[in-house]
Amino acid sequence: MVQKQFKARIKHNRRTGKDLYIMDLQTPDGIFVSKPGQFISVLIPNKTLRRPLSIMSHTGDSLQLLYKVRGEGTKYLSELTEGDTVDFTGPFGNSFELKTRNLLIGAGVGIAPVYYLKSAGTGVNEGVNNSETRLIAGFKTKDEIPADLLPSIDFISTDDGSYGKQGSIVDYAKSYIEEFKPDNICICGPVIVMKLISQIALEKNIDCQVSMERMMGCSIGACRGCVIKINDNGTIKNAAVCKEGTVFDARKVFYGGHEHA
Amino acid sequence: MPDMRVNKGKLQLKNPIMTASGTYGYNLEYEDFTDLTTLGAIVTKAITLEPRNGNPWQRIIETDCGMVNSIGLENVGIERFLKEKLPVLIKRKIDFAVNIAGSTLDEYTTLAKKCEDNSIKIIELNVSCPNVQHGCLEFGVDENTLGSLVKSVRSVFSGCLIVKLTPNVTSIEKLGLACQAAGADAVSAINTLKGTGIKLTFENGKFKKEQVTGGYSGRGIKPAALSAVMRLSKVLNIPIIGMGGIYSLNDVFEFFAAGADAVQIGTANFTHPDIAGKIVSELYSFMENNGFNTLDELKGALRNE
Repeated sequence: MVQKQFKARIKHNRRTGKDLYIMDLQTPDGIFVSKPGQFISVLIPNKTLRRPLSIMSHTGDSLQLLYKVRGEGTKYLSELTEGDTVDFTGPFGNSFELKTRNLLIGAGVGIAPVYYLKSAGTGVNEGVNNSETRLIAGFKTKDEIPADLLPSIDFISTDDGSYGKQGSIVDYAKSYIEEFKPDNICICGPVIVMKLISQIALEKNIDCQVSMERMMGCSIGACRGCVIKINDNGTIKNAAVCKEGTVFDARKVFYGGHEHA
Repeated sequence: MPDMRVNKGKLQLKNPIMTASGTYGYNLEYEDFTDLTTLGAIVTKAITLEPRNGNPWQRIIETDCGMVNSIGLENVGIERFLKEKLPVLIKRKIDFAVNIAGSTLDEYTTLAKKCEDNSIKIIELNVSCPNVQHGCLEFGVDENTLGSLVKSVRSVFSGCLIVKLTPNVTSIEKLGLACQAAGADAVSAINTLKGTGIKLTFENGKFKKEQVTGGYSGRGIKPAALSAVMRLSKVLNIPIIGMGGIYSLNDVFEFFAAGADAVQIGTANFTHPDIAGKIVSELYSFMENNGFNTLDELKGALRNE
């Protein structure tokens, strides 16, 4: 039995942008072990379903989450303060894989897992066999950029031009791919962003991993509430985002139709 | 040392705490949260003759006091279950019941026969899934149809035969009686209530709607479940396994008070994946600390109040 349920003390919970918060949880070092791309599921009092949240960083006894206030659950979390306790389960799901030249792309709050991937990959892979990892990100507007993460982001665009270059990260990704020549692209963000960038990647025959998001029931693959259709070597089958994902090879994911609405 | 055993005809369990079909996977899904060997029985996800992909997205939605699901019986099918999932349950000494669902009487009977041939001790007939177009629920709403189904399954299955009843009927008692007359060893109640969850948000001048129609489960259905169990217990001699909104030992007591002999925990597993094992140990401690030697003594005390 691996411990997968924790009651963690909040070290900090602070605003880092419009409706954006970073929560720092104290977790048992060596017992809670995570990889970039994995998530945890947070208990919200009086709610039936736990809220799956991506891990933004994890070192030693410190687990950081980046979350956007979207509904009652995340609103509750945003009101917690230092010393409060959070009941969470996890880590769950698979993780991103780094190769030699990695282009990591985050859109909106989707920056969290790719930021973790960059922090975890830097130092391990960097410089070895000419490996290099860059992180680029797109946001709607300046207010939606998590200020804490700015130093780690190599390129930023905003839809309204209030910070960095103006326009969609999808357009800049294309020229960035030409220039940086990655052999691996990892994306987390809205479905439309992942769809368009993975199309560019696959046209150029670059490996591409995308992190899918779904409302979840059990978080452990039991309830089949969060499945997507994937193409597994020609066979169309269901995959539970919580267990077989959240990271999928972009070649296997269908973006069309209501399956991903 | 309290004796938590359920000993009612063919319904033999080491304790009355089971987990409900569809919420607990096939075998080891919850092993990081609960010692599965301590549970009275886990009930597998519904198994059909052929594998099923289930319904398209969106399959679940949270509601006030619960959730609505429309999974549509996604499962690996009986052959893969027998080959891959069953050996694990046996090897790990986990007590279990196999939930089976069909779209015809023959399918149910074939499934039950395969269970019999594989020495499966308990099956639960799913005649009440609200999320598939054919079969299943159609069998669960008419007492004559249900009676014939149970009779046919009974003729090929010698173990403990449980029938899971739907609350989406006028008289659950009539259905329970039909099961009893046809040779069922127990009934379980209730499956989900028909429900629709709608979630609206207003953004950039437009409404965005999420909607799932299917089975409503969770805390909110407990009074409906207690009522069904109470009505069934007034007319049936066979044991009743109660379920619907159980989140605590006290909820279990409420079901005992209403007439249940055992219980199943369902949606609460999503909220608290450790809950089933926790309730088993709480029940044990409660009985030990308060001088209840058997489950019947405890139930007696609950029913006489």
